[in-house]
Amino acid sequence: MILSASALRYRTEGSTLIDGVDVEMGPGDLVAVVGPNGAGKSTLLRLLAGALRPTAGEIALDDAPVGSLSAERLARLRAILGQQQAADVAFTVEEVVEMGRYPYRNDPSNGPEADRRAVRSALAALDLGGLEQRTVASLSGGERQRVAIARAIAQDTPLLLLDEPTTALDIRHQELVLRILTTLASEGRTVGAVLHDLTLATRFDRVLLLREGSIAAAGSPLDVLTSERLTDVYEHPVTVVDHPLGFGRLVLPIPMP
Amino acid sequence: MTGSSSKRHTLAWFAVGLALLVVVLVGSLMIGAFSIGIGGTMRWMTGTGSPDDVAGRVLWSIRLPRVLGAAVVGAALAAAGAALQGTFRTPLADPHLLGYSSAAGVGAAFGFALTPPGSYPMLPVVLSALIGLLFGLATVALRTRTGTDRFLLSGVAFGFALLAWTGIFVLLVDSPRVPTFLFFVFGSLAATTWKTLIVATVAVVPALFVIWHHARGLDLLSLGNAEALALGFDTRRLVPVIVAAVGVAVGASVVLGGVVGFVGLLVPYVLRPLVGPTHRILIPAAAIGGAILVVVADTFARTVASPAEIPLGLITAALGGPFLGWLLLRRSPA
Repeated sequence: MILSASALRYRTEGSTLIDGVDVEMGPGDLVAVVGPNGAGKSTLLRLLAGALRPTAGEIALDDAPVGSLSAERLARLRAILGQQQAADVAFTVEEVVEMGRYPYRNDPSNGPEADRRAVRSALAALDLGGLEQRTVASLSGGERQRVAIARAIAQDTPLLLLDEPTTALDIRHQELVLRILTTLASEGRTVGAVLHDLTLATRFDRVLLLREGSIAAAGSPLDVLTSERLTDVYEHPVTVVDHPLGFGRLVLPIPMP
Repeated sequence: MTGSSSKRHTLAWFAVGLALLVVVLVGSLMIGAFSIGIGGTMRWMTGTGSPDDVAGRVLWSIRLPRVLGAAVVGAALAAAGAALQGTFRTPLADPHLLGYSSAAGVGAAFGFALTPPGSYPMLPVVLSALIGLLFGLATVALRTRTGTDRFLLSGVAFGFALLAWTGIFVLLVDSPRVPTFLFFVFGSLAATTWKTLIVATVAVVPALFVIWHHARGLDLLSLGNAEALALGFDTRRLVPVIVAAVGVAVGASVVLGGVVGFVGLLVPYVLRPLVGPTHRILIPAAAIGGAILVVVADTFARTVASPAEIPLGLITAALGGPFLGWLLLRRSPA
């Protein structure tokens, strides 16, 4: 799935949240979107997902304008993980993950067995075994986050757009989610994720650094996530060092004097 | 994906519910100002009674349409409540509380005023359903602009105003064609005829089917509007469809039984812990539960102070109110 957006602009309530952004993502891409609070990361993600209509610019999925696709067709092409998960959901974990199969309900090539398989494997991937019959309302924040990711994975789409997928997760589950995203990309899917954790972003293929609604830098983590650039964009001193065991790099803030 | 054991569980609840509905329907037929008893009812039901005995005529032309009317009103209101609660993501959404019933009452009152006595009440149902539908669409527009509290309060405010206007209209017109003031304020099935029952049922059944058809979408809405849309449920197009269907069902029920409260609030609340939140199950379960509740309530309404009638809405509020209050207080705060 090729996602391409050009000259994106989004204005609301008199302020411009996204201004002149171009994005191109293809099969196998694992892209991190980073930037300070209010830089427009989530807005950009929602624009790319077709959940917001841009004020100007074009967004296309494999050359089809996002605006021309029905909600159902769009839901078979891209999955979204929102920033916050509803807490008061009376459905069970299994039922919520099964909701990811809703876009296929009228698809003659999709039988109940395919639904069951997708749900089972998404539950297993997110380490949710044993929680299937619990209601989502009874879960912790991190468990709810994993349920939401499992739902997005059960949706089985070529494009996944995730807003802070590792928020509220402990380190074991952060690593689990990163491995899942890497695997999804290696299967040829296109994965974009908004991240706050810059160290995690160093392990993505590409990084899109936003500042005030525009792209400050884009490219490999090595090129984009440098001490100088991050210090400049985040307006706070930052140092970037190699991981002592060789797994990517560590982005460390320097405490204020 | 419910396991086979929970599927059996659900089927068992449906079997119990349907059996209970049949029992209360037959029971309600037997009871009344003119006592018929089980023998008389059975003779009539099996067609072995004499064709022109009084019991048969009472059952056929008075009691049967009324009992079936009670079932239709209850099914429509409870299913409508379940659908509104799913749509607006609050257990307090109810066709009466949000003003749907009162809005439909205005249409019904106008329609009755223009309908010759003894004819099929087409105009009341059409106007009442239409106004219910338009009011429903207005609540959807309102919901997107306000938070839950203000949304519910505005529904209550509009509901009071519309009920008052209906009352004023009924008092000013003072026509024997238009049902009484009490009918519109507290509901009653005393005037139910086969003609009213048929016309109202023809509107209620397809409306409930439309609601049920979108049951999976209602499930998705529990995750939030944006999530439902992201999963392919076109909220902008389908939420209005669901709410319009609710408006039609409620509108038709108002022509049949007037403005009856508590059913849409109480029945889904009681049933959700028993059958679960899945709307594919909850909506038909609520329809059965609502039918049982209103048939029982109407039996009380016409027998407790017989030969006088107590308005149906007073019974549902007098019995349902404390019960719902008790249920709410019994639960620890969520």
